[in-house]
Amino acid sequence: MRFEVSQDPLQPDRLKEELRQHAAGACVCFEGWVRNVNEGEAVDGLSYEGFEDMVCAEGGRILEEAKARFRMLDARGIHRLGDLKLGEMAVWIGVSSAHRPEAFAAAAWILEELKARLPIWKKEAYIDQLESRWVGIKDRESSLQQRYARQLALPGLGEQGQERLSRSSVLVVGAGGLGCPALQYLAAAGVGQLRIVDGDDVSLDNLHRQILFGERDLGMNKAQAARRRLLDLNSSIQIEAHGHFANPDRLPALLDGVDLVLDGSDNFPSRFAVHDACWLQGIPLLQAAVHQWEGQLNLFAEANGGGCLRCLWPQEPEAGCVGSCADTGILGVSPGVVGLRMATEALKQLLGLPEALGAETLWLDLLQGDQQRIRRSQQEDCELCRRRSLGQVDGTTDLLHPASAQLDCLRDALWIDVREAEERVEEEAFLKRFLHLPVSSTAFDSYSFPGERDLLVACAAGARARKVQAQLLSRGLSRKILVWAAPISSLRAYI
Amino acid sequence: MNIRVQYFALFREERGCSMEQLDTEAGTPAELYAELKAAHGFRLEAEQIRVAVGSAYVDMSHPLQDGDTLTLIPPVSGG
Repeated sequence: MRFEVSQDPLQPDRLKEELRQHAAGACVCFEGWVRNVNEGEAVDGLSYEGFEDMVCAEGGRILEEAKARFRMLDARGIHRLGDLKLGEMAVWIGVSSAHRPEAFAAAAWILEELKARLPIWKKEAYIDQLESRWVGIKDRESSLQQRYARQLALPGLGEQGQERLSRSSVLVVGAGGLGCPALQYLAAAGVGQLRIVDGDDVSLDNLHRQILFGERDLGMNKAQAARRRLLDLNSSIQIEAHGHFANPDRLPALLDGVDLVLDGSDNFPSRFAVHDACWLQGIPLLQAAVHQWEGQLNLFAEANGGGCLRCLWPQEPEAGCVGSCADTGILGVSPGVVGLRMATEALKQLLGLPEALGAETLWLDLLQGDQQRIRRSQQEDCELCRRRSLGQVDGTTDLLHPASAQLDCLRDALWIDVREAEERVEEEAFLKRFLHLPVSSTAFDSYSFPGERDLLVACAAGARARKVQAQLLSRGLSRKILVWAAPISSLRAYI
Repeated sequence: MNIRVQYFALFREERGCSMEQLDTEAGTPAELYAELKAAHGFRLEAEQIRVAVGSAYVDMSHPLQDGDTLTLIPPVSGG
């Protein structure tokens, strides 16, 4: 990974050779040339000016970021400075990867970032004037303004709402009939981080309803294919593709840091495993399912008071008891409509709109054009809710957690609230129990905690607390560091 | 007692309609479901389904009243 500048004509062959490795099955190289017209004006040459160290450093950062975003192996880049004639090479980038889609996608992304971020200025020698510039960072911001202009104008959204979306992280389980349309609209709306998990490959009998995919995607992993298409739709967001199933052992990593989960998977074991993990960690879950012309949608979130999936179905239904899309048949529009309702509810939830789905199952009948709401309620005898209220978390996660046997140690611990100031809306008496160290403004790798008590870290749902825990654990402190893997409000019972 | 029965998903498929009016002596959803299962050969057992009366989920032992709408809800997992 290296970015260079040169005052001499570019000779990128040696850089391309550096990309060669046995794991690489594809190499995409791009050359940018000086042409004779820019925005309708005739040009006969140009000159680039820039600070070499800054250009190399920023270029290097962009290549590193590309490696984190794309499944690429290596990249090199070089930019020319000085005076260039028509037809000369101004910029060259090369990307190697195992397969071609990643190399193409990474190369395209790198180029856009270079154009937006490199501290290089361009003087074009116009035939009749001498004036122009390199596209700068401001243009990138204004292009985001333009991209979201129509939704920025929507009452209740605005810049604040857009900022909220861009800071949101959403896991979508299953890039199938429901996941595809939901993903499309979440990506288009600018949800900042999308994580897609699906272990299936695209097959021909998917295409009638999973319209994110095309014929060129046949045989490709769905999460990867979805990511490729979605980056084409919106390259300004981050998208992770996980090409495996959401098995319980994978869930801690998949749920790490997410604000909301959308589950449109097609089987009960996955649905229940994802649900249980979300519920125990306090992560809101939108779950949808379809059957022929019908669909249903639930938002399992503590805030709506409707309890969990296990309050409704204590036992996981037997596999195959109600048939699958393959057995019962489905028309593409059914998961399409229900997936869009998922996206709608997801955006409402992320924006914090009071109209977000409440303690009810939304039932859609697309054949009759009806919709019904069926009220859910938390069940006192729900085993999962009981475990959650005790803060117990499955042994399959890597959390240190306050289990029932540790309640004394929980009470004795120094409680730390890592939420931001504006999230602290509880009563003063409750808030006073905590040391307030907002995650955005505290350097946990060096903070000096008073006393010697064990630490209990809490936040709105548990995700940020876990990140803080990881930082604290890496310091090797001699006290225990517990994470409250549930909403902070549920600590009231232990005051 | 007159009960309106609404069928969702698999039940609609098995019954061939989405709604019907019934005269029944059944006093609870459990009793009514036993009658319907015998009459129409529904494949799911009572423990595998959920029911709603009006617009809320209820227990299978919830007392039914004349004029109630009972909705039979199977599990759904299609995605």
